[in-house]
Amino acid sequence: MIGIRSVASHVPAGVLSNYDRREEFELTDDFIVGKLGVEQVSRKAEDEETSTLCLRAFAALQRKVAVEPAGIDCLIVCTQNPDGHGIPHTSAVVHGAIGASDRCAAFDVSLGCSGYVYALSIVKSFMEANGLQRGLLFTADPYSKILDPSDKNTILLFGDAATVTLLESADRGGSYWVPTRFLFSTRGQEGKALNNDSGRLAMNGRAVFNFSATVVPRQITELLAAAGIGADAVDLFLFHQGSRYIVDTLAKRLGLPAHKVPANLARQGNTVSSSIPLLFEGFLDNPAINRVLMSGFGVGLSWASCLVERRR
Amino acid sequence: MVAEVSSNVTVGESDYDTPLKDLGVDSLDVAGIFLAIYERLGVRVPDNEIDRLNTVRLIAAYMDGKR
Repeated sequence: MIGIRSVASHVPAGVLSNYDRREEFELTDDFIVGKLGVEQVSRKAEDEETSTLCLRAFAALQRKVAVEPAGIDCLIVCTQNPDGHGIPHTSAVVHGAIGASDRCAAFDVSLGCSGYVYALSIVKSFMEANGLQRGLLFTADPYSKILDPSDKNTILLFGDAATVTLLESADRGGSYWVPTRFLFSTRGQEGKALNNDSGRLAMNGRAVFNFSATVVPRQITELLAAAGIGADAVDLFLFHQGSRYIVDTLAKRLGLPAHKVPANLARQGNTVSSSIPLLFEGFLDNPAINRVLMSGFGVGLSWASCLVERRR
Repeated sequence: MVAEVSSNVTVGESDYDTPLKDLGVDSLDVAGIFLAIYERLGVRVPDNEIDRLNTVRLIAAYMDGKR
């Protein structure tokens, strides 16, 4: 069985404050804090690539756990904003940079905000099916590459970040987290609600909100029913940090108490597929937390949820 | 429904002609209001109409026209 051993992250030090843009976009402090939930968005440096962010996250992982690149069996990067124009794939770039072995599989997964949940299943299944022992799942989707600085819908919301999740065989012993049950969904006919057809990100905020507020609670209810548990048996609900408003709306629609629905987008913004692992990282070693539900939703339109449980 | 969906907003009869923005209803609240309208009343308001319906009275008149 493959489980999550550790998660590490890199949030670039560069930031743009939404308070500095109050006049430009007619914002109130209440809106910034209470509705967007984003006080500042993180920004990578101009000369940093997607792979650069991955490498910084990997360095952070190595400070937590002994990870020898030569011992990595697979390396996956979840991104829709790869290095350069996408060839070679970003995971290959990262593979080369960390000095992983020729026997290491490396591929990218093209998904946005639902990406972490989808990719957890992909990597876990890939590793179990092929008898692999150690894998790295990176999320790195720096939207700063494609944002329109004059678009109020997006420029105040999206931030850059990268995370890396170390997945290992449970045979290694110790404490780990096992993703158990998954549900996956897609609604391609509404995909244009989030696109970069013009080379810049365009988001129909209303359509994305309507979609998220209706499909996500349904999927979560179905997942809990399939697992035979109620919401009270879940310690934390880790929602994709789309905005404070959508997180609060989901909590309200599911009848969840505030302490079970953490939010951490204030200091970096919506980091796309990195948002869930960024949240998860903060609770991994909390002994009071043993079962979490993750739910990612957005680009595609695509959504996925899973339960993840601690095993000792 | 406007007050129920929007936090920190109260709406009395004298507010029916006040622009929603002046009542403290922001753009995200507007999305919530029209989603609630669709879910409870079955009326889907096209995006190009939503910007025009910026008072409680205008929204109510639109709903009346859809009955």
